[in-house]
Amino acid sequence: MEGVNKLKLLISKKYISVVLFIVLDIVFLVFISFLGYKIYGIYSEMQSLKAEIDQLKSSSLLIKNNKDLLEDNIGEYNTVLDSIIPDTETYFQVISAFEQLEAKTGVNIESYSINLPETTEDKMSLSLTITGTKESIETLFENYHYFGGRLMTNEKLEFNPEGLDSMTFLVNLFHASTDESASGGGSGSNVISSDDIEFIKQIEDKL
Amino acid sequence: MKRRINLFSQRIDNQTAKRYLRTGQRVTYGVLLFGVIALMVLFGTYIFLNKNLADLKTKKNTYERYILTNQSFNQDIQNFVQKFSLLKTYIKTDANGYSYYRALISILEPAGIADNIDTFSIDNNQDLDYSIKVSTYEEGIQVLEFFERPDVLEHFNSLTLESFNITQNEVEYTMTFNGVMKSRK
Repeated sequence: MEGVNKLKLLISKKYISVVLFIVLDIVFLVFISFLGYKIYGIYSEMQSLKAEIDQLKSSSLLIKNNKDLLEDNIGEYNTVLDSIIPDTETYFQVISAFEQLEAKTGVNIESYSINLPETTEDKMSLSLTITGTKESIETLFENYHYFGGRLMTNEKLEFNPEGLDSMTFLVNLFHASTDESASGGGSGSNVISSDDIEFIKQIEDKL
Repeated sequence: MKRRINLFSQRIDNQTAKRYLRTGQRVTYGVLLFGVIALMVLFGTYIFLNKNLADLKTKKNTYERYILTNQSFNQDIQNFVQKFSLLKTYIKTDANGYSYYRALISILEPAGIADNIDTFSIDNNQDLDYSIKVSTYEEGIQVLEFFERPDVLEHFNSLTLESFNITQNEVEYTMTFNGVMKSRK
């Protein structure tokens, strides 16, 4: 009888200690989970901060690398770029560009039509029917890129040198809105060279 | 009635209970030890990451202050870079065809056939098609020989004679060539 009592006492003592340890374990595990959760939160915040910093660093480098060369005249260069690649496209801008092209080259643009399959969100592809003297059409071939006050490209030139008084000429006009979301997205490795500036100035002279 | 106790069965129960308790004790000790170690590691990590986070915030503030100081220039340069890179991209799609036409003229001049180009076509991959018209068979053969010369062929990545036709009524020989001109970009 005495042995049984001892055993009960022992069991109850051990039982209490095991229960206490289990409670302690639970407390620890809860705390570990909480700490793990906090660490995950910090890690996520760090990742998003790193992405933000990369973007800010890129912008800072872009400023640092180009400030000396561009600071004084960047407004003027942007005006040139915005005029050759405007933010939006309107019918009147297209007409105005063709009028300028006619005036500067001496060709007559008899008609034009939109090449719908080649036209995209930022590119308007047009087919121009042109008449003029051989010289005026050659002037057009040499200067169509900027003489309309807009950037114009031609992806395929096709003509008959003997009958160079009337032809069909394909041009593309471009527009692109300044992307606000790209603010801070310009790559810091973008270093504008003096050749680039010279190129912009040459374009400006042709407008 | 005399009461009997089965001492064997009670001993077995006691031993089982003891064994379970001992195992339970060991497991709880183990879990606790793991908890302590894990807690130490996690706490260390927490402090380390917190410090890194503070450093990153400082770094971010520094960049933000720099950009804020140059806010106006920043907007201008972003616009410039975007439009200028578009300009360069768009320009690359241009065939620049007339400069290739003039290059072809200068290639043909030594043979005296620069004025004999009948049709000309080139795209932005420098894929070229042109035809040359001559009035005699001998001239036609001379043109073909001219285009077999290495110093002429070096201006082209490839060049083939697509057709050699004769117009019966006017007695004109038309040679149509196609190929790829070497890039001048």
